[in-house]
Order: sequence, then structure tokens, then C-alpha cells
Amino acid sequence: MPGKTKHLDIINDNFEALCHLSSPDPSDHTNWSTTIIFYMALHYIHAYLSKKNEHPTSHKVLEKIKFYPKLKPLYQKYRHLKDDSEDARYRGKKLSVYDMRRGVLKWFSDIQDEICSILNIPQGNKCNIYDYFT
Amino acid sequence: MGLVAIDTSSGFFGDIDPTDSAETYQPKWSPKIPQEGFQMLSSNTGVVQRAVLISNVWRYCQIDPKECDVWANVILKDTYETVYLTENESDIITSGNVVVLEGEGHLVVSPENTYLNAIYHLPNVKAVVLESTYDVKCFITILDKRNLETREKIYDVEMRMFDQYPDEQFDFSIYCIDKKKEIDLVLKNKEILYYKD
Repeated sequence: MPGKTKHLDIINDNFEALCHLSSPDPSDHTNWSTTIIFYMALHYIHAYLSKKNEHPTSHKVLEKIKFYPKLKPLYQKYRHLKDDSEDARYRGKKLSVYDMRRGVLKWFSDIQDEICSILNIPQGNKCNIYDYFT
Repeated sequence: MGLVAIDTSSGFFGDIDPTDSAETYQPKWSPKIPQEGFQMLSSNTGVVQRAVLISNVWRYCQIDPKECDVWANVILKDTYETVYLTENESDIITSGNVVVLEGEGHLVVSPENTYLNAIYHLPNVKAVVLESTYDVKCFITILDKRNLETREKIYDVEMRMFDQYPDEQFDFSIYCIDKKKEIDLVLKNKEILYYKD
């Protein structure tokens, strides 16, 4: 099972892909951007859980977020990302850049900030996704 | 532990007063969880009489009167919420889903009904379906518009479900679909708990 470092590596890989996908026009592929951002958030959750020696399967993740008091405030943000990414993947929904900034980017950033704070991840290691959706 | 459904076939919803029951309910979808006591209201319904409810609860729970009375109120509230509050929308689908835990005598409301009752009336909720595997109940709610406020209210309900049913495993999804054809595809071969035409 991957540990914290591996999950953070995967987040960085995903972020690189997101940067490519969002340049030059971020509105071209917001469906895939939403999907990538959801998986980045998922890996942040897994990075936290791996410190607790928890490696849940997909449907158990929600229960774990609800279970750990430090993750619980992130439940709604994670759920929004999950639903938007499923709408994007399975039903081809494309959000506008405005909706991305108002929702998806904000929910992800909140999750990222919280997990980085808990896991003492330096500010410089965070992914600034807002730069790619202007 | 086995679950025994309360027999709602006679009088559970109270005697029907013909003068009070002008509306006829013609639900469009049949919930497919009869083994847990869901029951369609396909005929005229009148005022639910609390006394009849209590006597029915008494018959099955076999516990002290005070507790029966408490549960009768829960059932009454549940029934009113599902039946009467939606009367104007004529989208009635279920009655109270109450089961008795065998041997313990406690009445509990099934996860399906708890979830459904809490969300079906929210704006843009078009359908609720259940897709279960052997160990996980997957609730899928379909909205006809990406309504973030409704989604957040549903997320609150989800969190409560984890607390209320610690022995169950749940997964939740909310789909945004505005085309009837696409909704029909999602509903196909799934257990439909609610559908609003």
C-alpha cells in the first residue's frame, strides 16, 4: 500500500497533467480537469489516512472522512468534487471556468490547505491550481 | 438478527374517512423493497388516526406502553411527512417503513426510508435509486440541475446516515441529469425508491 510520500508524488504528477491540459485555454477540457482535481484531492485524503495506517477501498473513503474529526470538515468539499468529477467522466459535463473557480478549485484548495497543515507539508509544495484557470 | 416487517395491511394508516379523502393517489413507480415494509398508497387515504397507529405498534413491539407511544409518534410523524406534506405535489411514493428487530422489540426505520424521507422533497431532486452489492448500499440521487445548495443538504443527510446506521456500509452519489431519456437509462435495472415525473 502506498505511503504518504507516494501519494504526494501522485498528486504532483496529476498537477503536471492538469497544467498541460489547461494551457493555453482552460475551458477546453474542464471535464478532465475536474476529474484530475478530484483525484488530487483523493490522494490528499489517502496521504492523511496512510499516516493512520488506513488504506480504504473507494467506497470506504467517505466513511473514513466522516470518522476522523480532522477530516470531517472536508466531507462536503470532497463530496462536491466526487459528484462533479463523476458528472464529468460519465455524463460529459463541462463546467465553465467561472464555475471551476467558484467550486472545484475552491473545494480542492480547502482540502489541500487542511491536509498540508495537518501533515506539515511546506507551503511551497502546494499546487496553485488557480494560476491555470484565469 | 432477522427483521420482521410490521403488517400494514389492515388499519395501519387508520380508518379511512371518505369525507376526508378526496384525492386518489396513483403513484408512477413501485418501490421494490416490500420485504422491509414499504407499502404503496394506491387507494384513497384519509386522516391517520393516532389511536390506530398506537394499537398496531402495540401489537408488534410488545414493549412498555411509554416506548410504544414514543414510537407511535415517530411513525405518525414519518407517515405525515411522507404522505401528507407531499399531498399537493401528488408524488406520493411510500408510507412509513418501520420494522421490528426480532427479539429486542425495538422499532427502527430502515436506511432507505431515512434517506428518502430526508431528501426527496429538496429542490431539483428528480429520482432516488438504490444499487446494492452484498455488503454496500449505494444510494444514487438524480438532480435535474446542478444545485449546490441541495447537494449540501444531501451531504448532511449522508453524514447522519453513517452515525445512525453504524453497522451498514454506504456509498453515495448525486448525478446531475436534465434529460428524461438519460434519467431512464440510469434508472434501468435499479431499485427505484423515488421518481418525480
